[in-house]
Amino acid sequence: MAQHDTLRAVLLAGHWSHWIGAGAVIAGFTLLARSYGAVGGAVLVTLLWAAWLNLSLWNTWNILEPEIQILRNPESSLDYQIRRGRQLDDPFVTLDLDFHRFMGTHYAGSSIVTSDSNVYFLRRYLVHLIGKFTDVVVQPYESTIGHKEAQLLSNASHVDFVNAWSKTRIRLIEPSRRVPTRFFILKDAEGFVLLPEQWFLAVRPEGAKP
Amino acid sequence: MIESLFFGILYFAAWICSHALLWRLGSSIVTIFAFAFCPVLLATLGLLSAEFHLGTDWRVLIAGSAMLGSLVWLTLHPRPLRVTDLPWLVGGTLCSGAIALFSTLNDFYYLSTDGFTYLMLGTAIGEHGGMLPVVRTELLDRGILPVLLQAFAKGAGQDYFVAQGPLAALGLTLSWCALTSRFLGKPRWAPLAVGSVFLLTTPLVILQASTIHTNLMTAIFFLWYWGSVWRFVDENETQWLNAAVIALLGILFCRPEAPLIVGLFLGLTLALPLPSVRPVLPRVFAFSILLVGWFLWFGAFFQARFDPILTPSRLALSLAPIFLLIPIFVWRSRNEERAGFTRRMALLVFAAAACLFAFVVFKRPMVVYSSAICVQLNLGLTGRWGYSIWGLLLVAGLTAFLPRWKWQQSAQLVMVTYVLLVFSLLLFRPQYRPSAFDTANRMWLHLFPIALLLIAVRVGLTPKKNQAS
Repeated sequence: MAQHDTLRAVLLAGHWSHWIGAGAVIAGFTLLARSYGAVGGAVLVTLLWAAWLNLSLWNTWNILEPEIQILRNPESSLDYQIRRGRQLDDPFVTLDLDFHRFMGTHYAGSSIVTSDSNVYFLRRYLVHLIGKFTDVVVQPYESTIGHKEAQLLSNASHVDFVNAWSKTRIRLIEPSRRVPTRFFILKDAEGFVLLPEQWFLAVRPEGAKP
Repeated sequence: MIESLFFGILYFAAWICSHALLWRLGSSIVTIFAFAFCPVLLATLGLLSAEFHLGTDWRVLIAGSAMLGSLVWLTLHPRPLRVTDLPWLVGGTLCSGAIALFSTLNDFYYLSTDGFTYLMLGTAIGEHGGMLPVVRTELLDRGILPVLLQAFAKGAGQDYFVAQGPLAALGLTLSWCALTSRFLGKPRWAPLAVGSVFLLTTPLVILQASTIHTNLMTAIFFLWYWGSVWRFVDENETQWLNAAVIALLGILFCRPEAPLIVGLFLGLTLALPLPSVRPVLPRVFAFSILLVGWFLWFGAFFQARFDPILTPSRLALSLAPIFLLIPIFVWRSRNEERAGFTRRMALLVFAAAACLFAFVVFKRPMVVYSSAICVQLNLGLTGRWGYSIWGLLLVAGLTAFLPRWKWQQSAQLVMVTYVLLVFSLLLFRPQYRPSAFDTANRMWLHLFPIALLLIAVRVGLTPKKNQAS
C-alpha cells in the first residue's frame, strides 16, 4: 500500500504534459539514434528541447504589446504626423517629456543598467533635436554599470534629473495621461527627428505657458 | 496588398538575376538564393533612384527591376529558361508575395530606436526624392538597406513596409536548409527539420523578424558567403563565387563595419585550399574597387556630427587590410602549389584579429570589461536568446564525439575571429549594453546559422548503423 502511495505521489508530482514531454523525448531519442547514432540523437533532441523551452518563453517576449507597436490607422499615419510636425516651424520648442512612459514602455521592467541605455537614446534624440544648443549637458556614454547618469536615475528624484538636463530646456514632468502611439517628425537645423508622441505630453512654442 | 505586389515583383526580378548568375547550380539554389538577392536588388535600384532623383515611387522599382533583370540576364547569356524552371519561379514569387500579404494583414512590428532612425531617414529620402547631406552622413553609421526600403514604402503610399523582417526570416531558414542539404549531399531530413525549428523558435530571430533592422539579412549573407566559398572549393564551380560576391555586396548594404568584415572574410578565404585563385582574383579586385568607391562617395559628404562612429580616418584604417590582401591574392594566383600557405594564412589572420583585440583591451580596458559583462548577460533571457545559445553550447560539447567535417576548422576560425572583431569595434564605438537590441547581441545572430550548419552537417554525416557495420 505504501509503495502504491509513493508511486502515485511520484506520478502526480509532475503535470501530465511533463510526462508526455518526457515520453516524447525518449521516443524521439530512440528514433533519431537509430539513424544518427546516440550522440547525433542526443544533439537533435537537445536542440528540440531548447526550441520547446524557447516556445515556452512566448509570453515573456512582449513583442506583441500593443503600446509599442506602430499602429496602422489614419490618425497615426506618418503622413498625418508629418503634416502635424511641419506645423511646428519654430524650432525653439519646449518639450514636456513624459519620462515615466518613456522608461516604462520602451523597456518594461527597466533596471539601473537599462535606465542608462534609455538615457543614451534620450541623449541622442535630444542632441539631434536641439543640436543648436551647443551646451547640452551630456555624460559620455562610456560605462553602463555604475554610470553617473544611471545612478542619478536610480537614486535621485526626478527633480534632480530635471536639473541635470536643465540646459537642454527639456522639462520632465510626471505622467498625467495616456496617449496612443503617434509620431512627431520635427525638423531642426540638422535634419529630421522622429519621436513617438507617447513621449510627450505637450509640444508648444518657446515661451508659451502650459 | 501593394506590399505583397511590391515584394512579389522584386522577387521575380531577383530570381531572373539569380538565374543569370547561378544557373549551373540548379533551380532550387537559384530559387532560394533569390530571397538573398532581393535586398541587394532593392538597395541597388533604391540607391540609383535616390541619387538620380528618380523618386521612390514603387513603379520606378518595377521598371528598374525589369530593366536590370533583363540586362543581367541578356549580358550573361545563361542557359535559356526551361519549362521545368517555371514552377520554381512562380512558386518563389507566390511565396514571397504571400508572406508579404500575411505580414501586412498581421502587423506585429516592434518599435526600436534604430527602427525610428531608419524610418526617419527613409521618410527624408521619400520626401525629397533624393539624399540630403545629413541623411548621407547618417548612413555612414548605418545600413542603407532598410532606409531605402522605407523610402519606397513612402513612395508606395504606405507608412512603412513590414514584410522585410518576415521575408528575411523565411529566406534565412530556406538558405540554411538549402546549403546544409548541399553539404550533406544525401537526404537527411531530421537535422534539416530540427535545425529549422530551432532557428525559427529562437526569440531573437522572431524579434528581428518584427523590427526594422538589418541583422537577419546580414545573417543570410554571411551564410551564403561561407557556404558558397566552401562549395567552390568542393566543386570547383565558379558560379558559387558569384553568389559569394553578391553576399559581400549585401553585407556592404547592411553593415557600416563592412570594410572590416570584408577584410576578415577575404583573409580567411585565402586560408582555404582554393582549387584555383584565377577566377577569384577579378571578383576580389572588382569588389574592392566598388567598396572604396562606395565609401569615397559617401565620405565625400561627411559632416562632423555629435558622435560619428565612422570618421574618414577610421574608414581609411578599416579599408587598409583589404589593400594588404590584394597583393597576397595576386601572389597566390601565381603560386598555386605552395605548401603550408593556407595554414600560415589562417594563423596570420587569427594573429591579426587577436592583436587588434589585445590593442583594444590595452586601450580601453574598462569598456571591454563592461561590454563582456553585458554580452554575458545578453546571451540568456536579457538578449532574447532564450535557451538557444546555451543549447548550442551544450550541443557543441556533444559534437566532440561526432565525425569531423571538412570545413569544421574553417567555420570555427570564422566564428572566433568574428567574435574578436566584434569586441575590437569597441575601439571606435561606445560600450555594448544589456539589451536585445544591443549591437553586439544582434551581431551574434550573423554567426548563429553558421554554427547551426556546422552542428547539423556533423550530425548528418554520422553513418547509419547498418552502413557503419
